[in-house]
Amino acid sequence: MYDLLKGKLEGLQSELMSFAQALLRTHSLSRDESSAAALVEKQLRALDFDTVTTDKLGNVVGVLHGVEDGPNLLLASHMDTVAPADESGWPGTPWSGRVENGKLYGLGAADCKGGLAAQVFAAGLLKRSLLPLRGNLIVAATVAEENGISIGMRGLIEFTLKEMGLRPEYAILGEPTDLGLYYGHDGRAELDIRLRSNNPFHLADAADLVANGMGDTDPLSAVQAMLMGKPQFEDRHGLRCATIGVEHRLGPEEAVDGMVGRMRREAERLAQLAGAVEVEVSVREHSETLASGMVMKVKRVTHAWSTDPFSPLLSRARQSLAAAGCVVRPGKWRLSRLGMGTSGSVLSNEFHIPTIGYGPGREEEAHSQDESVEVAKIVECTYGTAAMAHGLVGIPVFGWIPDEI
Amino acid sequence: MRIIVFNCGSSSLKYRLIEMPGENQLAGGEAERVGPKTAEPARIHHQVSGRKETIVVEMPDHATAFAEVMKLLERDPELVPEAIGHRMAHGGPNFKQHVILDDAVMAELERIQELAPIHNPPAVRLVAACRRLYPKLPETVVFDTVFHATIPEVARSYALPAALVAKFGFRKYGFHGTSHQYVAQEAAKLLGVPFAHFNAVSCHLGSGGASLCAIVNGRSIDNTMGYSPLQGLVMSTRSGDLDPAVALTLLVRAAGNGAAVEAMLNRGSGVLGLSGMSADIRDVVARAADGQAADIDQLTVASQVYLWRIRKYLGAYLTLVGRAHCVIFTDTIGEKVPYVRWAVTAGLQCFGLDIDPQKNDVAGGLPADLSTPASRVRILAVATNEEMAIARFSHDLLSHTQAERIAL
Amino acid sequence: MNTVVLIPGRRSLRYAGFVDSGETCTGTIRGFRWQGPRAALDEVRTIVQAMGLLDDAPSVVVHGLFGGEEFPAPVSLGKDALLRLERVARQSPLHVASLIETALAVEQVFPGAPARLAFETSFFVDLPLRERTYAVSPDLSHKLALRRWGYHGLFHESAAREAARRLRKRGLDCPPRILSICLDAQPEIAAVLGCRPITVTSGATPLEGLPGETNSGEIDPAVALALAGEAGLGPEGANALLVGESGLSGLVGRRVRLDDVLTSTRNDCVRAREVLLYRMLLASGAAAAALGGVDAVVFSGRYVSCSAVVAHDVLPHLERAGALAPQAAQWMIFAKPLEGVLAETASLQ
Repeated sequence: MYDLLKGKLEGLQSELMSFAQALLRTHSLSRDESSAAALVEKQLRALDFDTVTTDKLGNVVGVLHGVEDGPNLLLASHMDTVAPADESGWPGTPWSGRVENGKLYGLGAADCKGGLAAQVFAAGLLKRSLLPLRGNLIVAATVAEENGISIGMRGLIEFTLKEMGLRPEYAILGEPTDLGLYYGHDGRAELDIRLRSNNPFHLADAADLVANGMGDTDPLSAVQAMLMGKPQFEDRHGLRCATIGVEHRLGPEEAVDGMVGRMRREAERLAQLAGAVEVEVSVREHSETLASGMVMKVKRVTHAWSTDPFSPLLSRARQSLAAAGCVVRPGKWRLSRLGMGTSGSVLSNEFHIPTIGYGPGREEEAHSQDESVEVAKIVECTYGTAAMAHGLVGIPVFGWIPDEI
Repeated sequence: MRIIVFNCGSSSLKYRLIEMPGENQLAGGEAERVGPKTAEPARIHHQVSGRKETIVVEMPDHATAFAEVMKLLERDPELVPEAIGHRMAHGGPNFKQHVILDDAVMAELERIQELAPIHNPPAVRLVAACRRLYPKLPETVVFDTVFHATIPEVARSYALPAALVAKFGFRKYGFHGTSHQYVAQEAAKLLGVPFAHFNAVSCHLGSGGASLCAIVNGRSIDNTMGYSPLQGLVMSTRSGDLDPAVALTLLVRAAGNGAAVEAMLNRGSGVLGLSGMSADIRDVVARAADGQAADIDQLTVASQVYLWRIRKYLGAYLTLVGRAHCVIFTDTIGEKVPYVRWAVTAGLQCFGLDIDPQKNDVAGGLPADLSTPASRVRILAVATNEEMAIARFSHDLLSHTQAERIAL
Repeated sequence: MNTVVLIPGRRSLRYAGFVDSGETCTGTIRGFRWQGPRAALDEVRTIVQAMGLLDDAPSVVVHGLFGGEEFPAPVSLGKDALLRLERVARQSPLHVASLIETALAVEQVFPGAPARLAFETSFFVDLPLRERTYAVSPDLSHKLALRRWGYHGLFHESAAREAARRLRKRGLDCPPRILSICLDAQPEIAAVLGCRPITVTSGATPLEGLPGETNSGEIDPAVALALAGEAGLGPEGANALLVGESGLSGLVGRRVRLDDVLTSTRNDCVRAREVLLYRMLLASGAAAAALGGVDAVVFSGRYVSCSAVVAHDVLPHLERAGALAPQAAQWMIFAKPLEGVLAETASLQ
């Protein structure tokens, strides 16, 4: 079977690369993904997916129907990108999609349009090989991952797939893993520390103390937070207020409430040195308007998540990859560049869907200037993803002798 | 010499006290519900020359059960055992003879436990307990696999790469050896053929496991079971032969849970799986004979598949053996179900089998010859007696102290 | 009638052309991968056209390894056949997929030519329930479409028919009991009563049964599970090993063909030969018991030229056990190649 997949992939390779390139040439900043969505939808139809649809949030979903009642596998990648930090840092533009020395360049090449292209074509490869599936293979290109803390993913599972009668048993994310099998990462929360006082001078001192205290990277400190920008001040009803934004890492077992409590005690301790100041700490919230016009309220928390490395998902993924002749390298994201993390926390923690990541990009490339992904890895990722998907939801082809008997 | 023979189940301990070489059974019984407490109390059904008694006593493990049984026997100085014989399901690749227990044997027994993870470990623990509690009493270990140690390499090899076989030891072992050998010896005696020149196909059709054995010159040359007891005939709850690709497909469908697939193939398949009503072929045959049963088609297929597999292997082994003296039926189904014996041999005159339906139906006292005078190959029903076989082996070993033993 | 025979593999296409004049050609197109069979078929068309085979509208016969219960007989290629193929695809995804591709390409390359599909499994569709049923629950068998098949039905059927014809000539007037031994890369033994198969060595897939050139044949299912589990190969890895690296090649330690093993004088082939012949002996005995005796033994298959090696080893055992009718010791050879058998299918329509 792996021979068959390799052969068919050879035939699909140029189509795959044009699609990846076209994705990179299409602007898709978070909450402005509609052009990219149209592109994905067109490709899904061209690959003859059984069902193709774009939902209210703007997520694009393609389904290959299984012939039995499960299990279902979700291949998901977000199609949005962050805004380029500094466009001048790019030779040409961040949307050139140029290929040089075997690499494909462009905003979101590694995070995670390369992975998206690979996932779309992995399913296409299975379809093209006429390999029947037990359960449904769902490919989703989601919106608002980068800015929206996986709003797109949450809506996808909670509404769209539910309405389609689909509940994934497993999920694979196309986020950058450099073809490693990643099974989780730590979490993060953005917190607002609000200080209030009727004495503006006390308040100014308190804000300084708290901000400096948070900036202090003493590893022994009870809180490990990073300051996000300078304190913001305002006057309201005769009170002077300050808001200090901090970002805090969340370990695998750590609850947000506990962390908020610790943060409040620490902020109180610091603020008290300046005089009588009221302290309030909460998770930052804001409203997001999606490309589709829908408005959603968002809490700025990414929970840590982890899939049991010995779970059926990981062991079956490892076994299929190994049998397909791919490198098997389990690991976890370090989140040095990934910003808020991946939608794995939503899938794993909120919807209890075992999730792993397998993508062609390297984590260090995410959000970097002149971001790139190796062409060969996109191809390998397509093949590896198809092999895993077949292992997880395909009808086994065991026992059939390689060629004519 | 009084030998106590132990047959250790996962939660039971059967024993027989046998006077050798006279082969008189002096006492016997079974300890039930050995192990963690269950709804009913643990007890020993003990029997001495026809007198039965039941003793309720806590037996948290096989060692305690053993000690309690010894207490019962020690009430009478005439019943104190002078040696212990153990039954062991799996002897691994190195035990090619039954053995007298010593340190090296004990170490090897512990090393190979995992080859038969359900059957060996409790027996090995019992052996150790006997040694600890009665260090002076000689102990022997009799293996189900030893009779099959003579299966030639060509018959025990799977067509797998050599390096893999060397690493994991995949090969046919064969099981039920003690029973096959015992009934073959009894049959040879009955027919007046020296065992060293005795050829036969032995059908051990138990209410649990079942296997056929091809015997040439008194040696096993093939057995339908394989690396594990799963291969071969359709059994009460085991599938027997199955396309390996199907086993792997089931594994994928169980999301890689090998234990679940093994449980299904070992405990939920065979006669039980096919019939959906009973693991006992007698129930299935009886119900299929009642034309009114709603599930008659399913039951008919179940009994046909069961019988057909036996018949095919019978033909295979008769061809292999060449000039067989007899076909032997034994163990629960083989001894007690005339229909099965008839259905698997009828119409096989070409192999020299001519079963006499009348003799077959009325065969009461075993052993019995069930074939017509014209039958070139005799068809016999012989009662198996594994405990007696173990007592014989043990006595042989202990009375020939310099008996040849293959070094481990 | 002029006939083109096509035997699609996954990476090769065997073809044969039969012209009325008696002229024939055979060959294999290799090395196509993703381009699919279309390119290969174009080549075949050029070759047979040069023979003048297309001057008269030829008929085309396409070989199918697996057709399941949907195809109890050869069928005309068309929309209906394709729909039915899609229905059986899940039972044998790899072979049916390449067959569908070939069938579509045939319609393009030989438009208007009457085309037929002939399947190896058709002969075994009505294998008796007692033989085809595995000892697992009927629900599971139903769900997985689990049953025993034979994968050399075309050889067994033609060879048995030929054997029966000869037996009738010699005066046998009851349905003959035929032991049919197909010597191919994956050898197979069937018991045929009259023209009905009663047993066959292969299983739900061609993996089970006799060991083949690269497949293990029957093993303890517990070994398959142990390979996937304890040996750490996973189900896919275990399958690759059992299907592609075992059997005769696994025993010898290098890639061998069945005829090498049966006739080679090299020492490293001895053990593989003994194992194969031993399994054939057991399978023949089982078939003899199923038939209640053997009236004729007939060999067929790609390596039919090696029949004598098998016959000399196996038949004396059957004879000694009494299972061989006296005339059956004169075993028969059905030497026609698969291409010829398929071409006959075309003339039967």
